Amino acid sequence: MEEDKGEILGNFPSFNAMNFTKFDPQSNDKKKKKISVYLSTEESKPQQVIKKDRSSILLRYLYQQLDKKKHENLKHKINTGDSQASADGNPPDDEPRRKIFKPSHSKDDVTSTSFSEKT
Amino acid sequence: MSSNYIVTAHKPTAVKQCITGNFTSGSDLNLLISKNTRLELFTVTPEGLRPVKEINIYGRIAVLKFFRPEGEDRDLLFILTERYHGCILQYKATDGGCEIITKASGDLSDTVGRPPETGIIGIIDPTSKLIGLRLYEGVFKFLPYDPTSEELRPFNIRIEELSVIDAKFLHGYTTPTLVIIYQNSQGRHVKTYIVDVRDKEVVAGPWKQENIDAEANFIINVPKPLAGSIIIGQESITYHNGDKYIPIAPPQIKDTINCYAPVDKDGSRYLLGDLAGHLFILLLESDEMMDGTNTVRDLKIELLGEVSIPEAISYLDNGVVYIGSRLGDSQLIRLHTTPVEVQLCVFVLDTYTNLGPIIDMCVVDLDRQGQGQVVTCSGAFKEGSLRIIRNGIGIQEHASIDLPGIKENKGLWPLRVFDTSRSYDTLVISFVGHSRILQLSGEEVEETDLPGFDDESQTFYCSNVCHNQLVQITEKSIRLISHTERRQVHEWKPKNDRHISVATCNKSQVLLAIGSSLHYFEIQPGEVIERACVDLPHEVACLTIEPLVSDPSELEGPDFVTASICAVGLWNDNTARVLKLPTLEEMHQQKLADEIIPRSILLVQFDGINYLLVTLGDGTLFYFTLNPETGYISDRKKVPLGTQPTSLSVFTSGGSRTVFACSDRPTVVYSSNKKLVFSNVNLKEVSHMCPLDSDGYPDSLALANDNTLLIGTIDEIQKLHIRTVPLYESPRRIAYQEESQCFGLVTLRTDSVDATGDKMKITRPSASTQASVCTKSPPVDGRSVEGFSATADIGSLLIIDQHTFEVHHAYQLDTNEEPLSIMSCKLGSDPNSYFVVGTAFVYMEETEPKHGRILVFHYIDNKLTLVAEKEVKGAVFCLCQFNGHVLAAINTSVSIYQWTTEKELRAECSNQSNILALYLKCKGDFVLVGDLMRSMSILNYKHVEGNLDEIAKDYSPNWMTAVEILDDDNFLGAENFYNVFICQKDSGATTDEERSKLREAALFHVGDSINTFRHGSLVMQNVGETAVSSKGHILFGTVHGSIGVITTVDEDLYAFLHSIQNRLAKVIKSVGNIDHESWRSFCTNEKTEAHRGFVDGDLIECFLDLNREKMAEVAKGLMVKEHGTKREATVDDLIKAVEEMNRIH
Repeated sequence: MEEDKGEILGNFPSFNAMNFTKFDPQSNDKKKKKISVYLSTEESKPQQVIKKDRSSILLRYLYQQLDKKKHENLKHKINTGDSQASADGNPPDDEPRRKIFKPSHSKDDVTSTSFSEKT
Repeated sequence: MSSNYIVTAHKPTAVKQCITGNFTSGSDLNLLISKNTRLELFTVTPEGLRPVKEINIYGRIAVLKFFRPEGEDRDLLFILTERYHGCILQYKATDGGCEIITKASGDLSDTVGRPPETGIIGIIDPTSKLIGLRLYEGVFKFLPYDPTSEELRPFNIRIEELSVIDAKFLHGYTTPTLVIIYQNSQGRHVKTYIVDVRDKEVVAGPWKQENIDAEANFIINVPKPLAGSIIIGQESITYHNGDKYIPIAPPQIKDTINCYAPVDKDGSRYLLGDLAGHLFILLLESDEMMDGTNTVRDLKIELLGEVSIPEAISYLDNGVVYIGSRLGDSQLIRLHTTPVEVQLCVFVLDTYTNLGPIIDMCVVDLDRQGQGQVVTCSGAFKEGSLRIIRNGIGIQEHASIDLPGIKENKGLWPLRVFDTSRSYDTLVISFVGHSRILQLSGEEVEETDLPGFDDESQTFYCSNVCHNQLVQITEKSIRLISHTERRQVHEWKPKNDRHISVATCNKSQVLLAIGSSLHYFEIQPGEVIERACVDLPHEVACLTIEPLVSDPSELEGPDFVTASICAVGLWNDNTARVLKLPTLEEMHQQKLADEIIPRSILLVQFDGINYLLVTLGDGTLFYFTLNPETGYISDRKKVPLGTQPTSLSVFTSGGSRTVFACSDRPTVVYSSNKKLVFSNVNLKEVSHMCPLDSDGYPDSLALANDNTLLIGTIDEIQKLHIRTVPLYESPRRIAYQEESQCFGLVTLRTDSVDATGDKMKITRPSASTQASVCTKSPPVDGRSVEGFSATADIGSLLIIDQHTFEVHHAYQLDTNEEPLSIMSCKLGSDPNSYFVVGTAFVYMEETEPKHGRILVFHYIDNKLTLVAEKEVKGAVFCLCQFNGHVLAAINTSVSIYQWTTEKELRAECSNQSNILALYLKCKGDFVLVGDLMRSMSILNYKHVEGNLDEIAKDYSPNWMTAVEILDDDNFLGAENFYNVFICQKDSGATTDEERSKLREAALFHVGDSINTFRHGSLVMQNVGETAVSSKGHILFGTVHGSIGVITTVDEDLYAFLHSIQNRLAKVIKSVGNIDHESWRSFCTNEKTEAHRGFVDGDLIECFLDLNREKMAEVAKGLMVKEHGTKREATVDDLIKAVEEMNRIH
């Protein structure tokens, strides 16, 4: 049991072997200095802006479903030897449906834009 | 319109999180501690923790993580506030300071979503490329971190599991892989997900494990080479990496493990802390395989010892660990490799005071010093304690010498005897009939003799004077002693063997009185020459000949300043008179009081203004401004300092003149902004003091305090001093009783129950088990508890001495009976003071308590008797003294109980309009009720009808945490979403409907949960010149251990402060780019409304830390009202206004 404890407690990692070597609780008490408060008056704009995610999970899901379906269609068409539509890239019967979705996106909705670019 | 000022007097101290990293530089090891809205940054050094900066965030910090993206030489900091504002910060060292750069920031909230019951989770993937956040139930938000792009675009992913307990990113996968603990109706399970950042979706991960420990509460992600996860449960600890599954069920673990800290970089050891304050170490034993990989063979756990109940742990360096505690004091500990004693591998290096959570508090003037002290019920469980907090100037004690009889000393003076050029080396203490001389060599003090010194007389005054001489004035003579010749060189004796009655001197002038004749001398080499003598109408009681200088160095050196006027205080006519030197011609006189004679008088200059200070025999201090040309004194002001004769001494502190008033209430008088400030000193009674700047004790003071001579240094500014009285059990409510000089405290402790029967065992000695007298309530409620529980909560009433804080008596309540409230009061025409305790019987199967008791106790002559008890139908949440009756909040009702002549409580009337009436305050016939979820209402007691009627109500759905009455029409409330608000009663409204509505007059977000409001102040009231037109000081105590002040200011001041606040909000840039306006806006689940009616004192007082240039920027264009006319405000106007506000706490 004692041995176990030795093994489990031995060799504590060290970042700087000097750290805490001069620790003196008494001088610490006297010196316990107040921590100074950080105050900034310098103009600093964040270098990066965290954008708001305005895309809806549901919409993205529907698009994904649509994508899958399209993919399947494509596969199906390839399988049936119809290469005409695949060269086109956009099956005509998908077109109107997407138009219904599009207006619901705001301009800065990047997620959905990039998504439609991808499609 | 309501105009108030709210400010933090004591910053939060409860630690919520602590993390380590290399933030200030790649070669620095930093510890970052979060205390609600504040961060404290430290660097680990050979001397210990070196404070770097305190960083205030405009928000409650929910997530705090260091991470290091590829290519960075040090860590970045990710912070998320509870209002979902995220930011990434970087440290940059600048010339003589630092800058915290906000690298990225933005709002991460969604428009819809339910906040998770298990709290916000924030994690960062091991490659630092992806931040994962669970902000709403059922949704994970991922924020890919790309240091090069201008914008960071988070995206949401829905996951099936609703109740996610914890989540972590796993090490050892090429794509971000998430592991979660989730709960469903079957129990708790672990599951992994792979996050596809490109397609913004998650797919099922490499492994999952169903039905793990039913109380599994967190996951540790183990880094490579071992990789995998450790699942910490209530009874088991499991290692899982998909292939291997190693559970252990160590018997040592009895309480919930709630935090951990990795020790080694390779992930082989972890420190674990549990809710009982046990610290464990967990070891992953591994085997190295043939192919060089490591696999975990077994888990081992060892108990290291006991620490403060931890909330967060950080392994620092070389076996030193920081224990962050929310319920008790945080600690710095060292782990010993070998147990020093049985189970003692933990050695506490340092502790950090924490007042949180402040459950209740009371403001009392224990020392009768006219200054409130706050006594808080702090902490919980084994960390429960009382904390006594007082404001004042502290004396740091460096030496204390036992000198029996020093109490009767008549004076104390420092001398330079052995080496006249340097600092003081001798101390003269005067007694009736003799004097003693102490020599100081280094830190040593020993009694000695002085050639030429008369130590068989009482010394009236002694000092080093010009021409390398010493003067000693006794009742017989003035003795001049030469340093060089080391003997007496001259002696002046009064004629006809008369006795000197009082005397004083400065470097070259002596002033003394023999009865009513006043003599003035000048000191020359080898002699004192009498220059003038006058007869005054009465005997001289006190005198002063201090030269008026603002720079103390003018008193030293060859061209020292001499006094051109002196002042005396007389017996019988009780006047103070100013006399011209050297003629002793009277310039001015002023009557001080009718009956009481002056005891000490002092001429002193502060900030270029000349003052005459006089104290009277009753401890009153008068002060006047003085024109030294005419001797005219004016602007008489009176300050009660103590109750006994006060003697004044002047000394130098921090380069400026400071006066020490020695009395039963020692006070330091100094000047700030051309105003005199009176500040208490944290000592009981000081009869005399003198400055002492010796080799061993530089810049110190010597004070005669009780039977000791104390040598110490003085704090430059006043601050809060905290004394801790540990209870080792949870304090609930406190009440003070002046008559018995005791506190009544109700507490709760947890005993263990024997599995075989009902036998209870005390788990830990605590205040209620170690009282001088312990008694028990006879069983009232004979109900047996269904099912078996291993622990039982025991409620007690403790009677605690106000001076010693010893527990005189512990009264144990019935089984299952919990104390909820206490008050001290006088009832009806009964002259006795009683402690009244409200309780509830709590059973697991009841959703809310169905019955409780009101118990009336009388404590007198060290005996506690239960005088009366009243069973009631519910929990007695709050008690109030109400026109000699007992007012009680019992579940839904607010009831009045009368105290009959038979000493019984009789129900008088009640009001039933609450969901749960939790808080009561009363004033006159009005009662303010704080409801669980229906904000506040006002009741009025009608004596004739004997009715308690609701007259007004706030209709907002606020969940209350504390209430207070400001005045007849203004009511203050604190609610569950960390806001405060003030409701106004509109008594002048024309319709009944309008009158019955409380109007919200002020709203403000404090950012901390307020548990208690109390009228009172931490600083001396009505002392000196307080120009601040504020009234009604209210103190509040919070869960994170901060104490705040709310005061009502007049509208002009409010408008002025408000415009300073608005300008400061622009000039001071927030860390993380959070708007001040939005931070302080009143925000609940229901609504967000702009703050109004409160000025944010925390921001206002930052003004004093700005540089002059920025101050000018704030002041520019601000108007200030002076004598009815408006003019442009100067920087000094602002400093003055802000300093005055600063002085209220």
